[in-house]
Amino acid sequence: MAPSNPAGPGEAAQPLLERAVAALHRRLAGRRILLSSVTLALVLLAGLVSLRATIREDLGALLPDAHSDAGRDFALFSGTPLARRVLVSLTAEPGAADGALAAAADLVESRLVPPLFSPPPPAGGPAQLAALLPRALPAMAGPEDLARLGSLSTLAVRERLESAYALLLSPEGLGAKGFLRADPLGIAGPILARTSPIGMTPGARASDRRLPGPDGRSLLLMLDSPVPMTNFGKARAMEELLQATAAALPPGIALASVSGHQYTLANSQTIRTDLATIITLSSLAIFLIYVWFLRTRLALFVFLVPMTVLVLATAGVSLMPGGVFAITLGFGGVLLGMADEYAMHIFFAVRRSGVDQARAVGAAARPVIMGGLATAAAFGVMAFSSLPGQRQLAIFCLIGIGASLLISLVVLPHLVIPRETTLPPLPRAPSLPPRVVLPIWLAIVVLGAAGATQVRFDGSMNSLNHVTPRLRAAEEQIQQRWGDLRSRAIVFTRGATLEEALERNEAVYRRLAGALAPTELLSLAPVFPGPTTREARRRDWVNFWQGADGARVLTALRTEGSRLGFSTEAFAPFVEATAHPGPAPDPDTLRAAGFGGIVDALLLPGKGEVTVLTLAPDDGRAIAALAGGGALPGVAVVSPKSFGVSISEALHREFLRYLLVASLVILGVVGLTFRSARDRLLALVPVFTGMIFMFGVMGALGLKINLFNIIATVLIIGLCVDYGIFMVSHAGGEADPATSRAVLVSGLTTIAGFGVLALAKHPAMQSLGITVLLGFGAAVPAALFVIPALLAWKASR
Amino acid sequence: MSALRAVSAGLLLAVATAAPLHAAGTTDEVLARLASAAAGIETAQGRVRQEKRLEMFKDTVVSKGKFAYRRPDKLRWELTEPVASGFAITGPTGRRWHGLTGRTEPFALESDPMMRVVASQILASVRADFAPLLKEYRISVAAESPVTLVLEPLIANPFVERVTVTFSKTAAHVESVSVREKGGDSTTFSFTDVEVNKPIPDGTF
Repeated sequence: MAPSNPAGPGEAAQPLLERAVAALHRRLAGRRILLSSVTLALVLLAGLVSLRATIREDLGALLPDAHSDAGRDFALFSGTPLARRVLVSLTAEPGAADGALAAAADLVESRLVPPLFSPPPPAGGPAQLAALLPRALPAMAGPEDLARLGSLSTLAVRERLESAYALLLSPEGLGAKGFLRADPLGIAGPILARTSPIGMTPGARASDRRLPGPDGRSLLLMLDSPVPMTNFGKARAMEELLQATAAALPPGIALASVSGHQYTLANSQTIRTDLATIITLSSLAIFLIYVWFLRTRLALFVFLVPMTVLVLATAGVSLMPGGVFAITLGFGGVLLGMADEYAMHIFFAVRRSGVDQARAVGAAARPVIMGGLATAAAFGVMAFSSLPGQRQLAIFCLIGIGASLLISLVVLPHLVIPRETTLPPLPRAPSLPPRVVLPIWLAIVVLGAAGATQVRFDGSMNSLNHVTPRLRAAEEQIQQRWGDLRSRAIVFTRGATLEEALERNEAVYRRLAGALAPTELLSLAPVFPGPTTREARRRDWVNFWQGADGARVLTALRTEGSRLGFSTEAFAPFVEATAHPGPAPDPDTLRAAGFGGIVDALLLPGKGEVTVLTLAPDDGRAIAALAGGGALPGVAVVSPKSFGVSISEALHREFLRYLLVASLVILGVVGLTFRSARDRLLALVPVFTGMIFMFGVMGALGLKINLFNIIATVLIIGLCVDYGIFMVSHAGGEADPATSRAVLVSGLTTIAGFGVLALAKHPAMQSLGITVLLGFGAAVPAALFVIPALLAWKASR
Repeated sequence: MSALRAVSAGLLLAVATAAPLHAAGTTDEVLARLASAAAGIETAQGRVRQEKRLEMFKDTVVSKGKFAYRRPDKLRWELTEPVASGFAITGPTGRRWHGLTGRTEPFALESDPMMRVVASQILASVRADFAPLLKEYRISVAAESPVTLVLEPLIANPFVERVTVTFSKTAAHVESVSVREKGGDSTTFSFTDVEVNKPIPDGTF
């Protein structure tokens, strides 16, 4: 049967294409064994290549390239120690022994050690801190601190010395002695109080690795790890170590932990389980569909086409640099379902012919190739995505479509031609009267259009994350007790040298301090400013103590100290620092004094540059403060909240681009395939119906569009247009039994493939499965019933 | 921190040996007898005299006060003159006071590393848990009459050079604990009127 209305350009090509395919078929006739052998060899070779593939289970597939804003943000964040931080919460249950919590913390720290966890920074101690003060005070004390010192009365000095005296007599006096000698007036206290809180929990110091809970029955350990949070293998080893540590804790102590590694692990394990389930169930479902509808042992060859395609496509992407994303392979089951439609069409065309098999194959070639081109074009759009996962998926599908077309047209016909000449007739194509079909269809379109207006975009990676109940509970527990420790805006300040980076970081701090309270910021700038400020403060410090106010305070210190019983040398380190301040503390000095944890978290040396981080609340104020007043050199901000927004915006842009380009491409293919506007519109009915139904239901149910739904859209556009082309190409005004049967079976196998995805536990794969099920669930009936109904309605008028 | 442990070690011995120590012997035997004696201690209380000889002070400063302990986790340590100050602990929380400021403030051991060390060392020690001390100090018997123990840090300690514990002639209780610091400063605690297993009012803690 010839196409109903050959279009202009296609008209000239059609006979040639038909003749070429038919000639090839005749030339290869009788070489069934050769064709089978070559195909088998290719599959084996591809299988070997696939086995050597490096499977990637990280989030890289889902994140935009580094040159995009969102990709750059993620790359920056991934490089920080904060991204590798592990939060371990210990809770003492009622009845737990005294000291059990501290003992448990000691045990945890003794077990969570290198190479999976970073060693604890040098603890520092009172002696080291005391030694730091004479160097730190001149660099830390700003104008407001000197002004406060200048206003100290003799009485105030006396009171401070009395407190120092009392402290020296208490049990804590031994540890405090060094501090009191270096800072008898308590200069450091107000400075540290406003600068060193970690900015996450009131009262917690930046040097602390342990944060006590507000109830006194819990403790949070903040541990670092050298393991990148996307490393699945080591993430698993870390989790096993955490579990073993939890099991070894004293009775009555519970451990909960949260880290990026655990998210990687949860996602990877779920994807692996899902993959096994999907491949098994979809293969079984598709096989059963074949057995039911094809009812011949030759159908096995049709079943083998998608299997072959799966291996070839996997081998193809295996050869790409950077490894194969597991999420790409997750589409194996889907590809199984969609790669058979060309084979199915050829199968039914060949079985129907009975007279000239070569001519039948040639006649079927045109809609099959045009359908394949439309699908390939739709997926081809995705090859230009900024998301590596989408690009790889596009290539995976393009290879699969090309292989499916080649095998279906060249190899399959020789394998499925029956030896007997008499074939059982196909059952009549299913049909329903137009008066039933068309009102229902129109209602679906109208309601779908209404629902589609409610669809929203969701760029949050969290919605694509598989979060285990235990991980969610740990997140909630930590957030409830210690606040939102993991959602902080991070300001990255780069410089060619440490001094340049510190100078710029100080500028960042000044800008931020104008909009945020100092206690909301975690920055090195107050204690470790740039060289210009350090020198200026040192000069101001010396000038102050040489000035009238300074001299008066020093005199009061000496006289009041003597009156209380302090010796003349009691505060020698401090007095010496007022006249000859030592050099400002450098990173090594700060580490030795017990600030290693915070210094190493905020100061990142790199090749040819140094990066200094500042943490701020992720509520938009930091971004606004840095945006105002002109751009600061070498500064970038990563905000989890704006990260989601930028991904959402990128998704929105890409979605509209896909929709536009894919629509134009299939319009072009449909335009080349058919001459009349009627046939062109009819061929688009399945795509249109599938899309509007999918978006309508999503809008009505409040399902947001994520990046996997974009893939779903491409699938619907690319595959459903085939159904339209097949149905209209063979419909001479009524439903064609062979074509209807081919569309029905291939549609069912595709739905089976996606139906299995809907059973996945991983939210990304489940989301894809559900939405495409909606699209195909509407598109296949539209192809089978609405196109014939519209044709019949038109013919009746 | 290590300095506090040294003080705590002294307090430990003061309390633990409030029960009669009948015979001297090797260090292990002495510690074993101390542990055995401590096992029966439900409460302990007494007076303390503290002498501080610091480079920061022109003269030796003498303070007086008292201490009290009740099993399992109550402790009170206070100086009453020349400056009133002290702390009381019950379980994971406590309060401390300063006579100069007149303020009493609560604290949690988990959030106060210094007090945590003091409390855990004293309480663990009263329960005769010597393991932490033996990890940090080499303990030797310097004299047998009166019994004198010397504790020296096993690893470099920025503060403490040596702790000397001197018992009474009858070895019924510790007479003094002297902590010698690096640089020459020293603190000596003298314990008197030590009473064991006598009732202590709840309000004490």
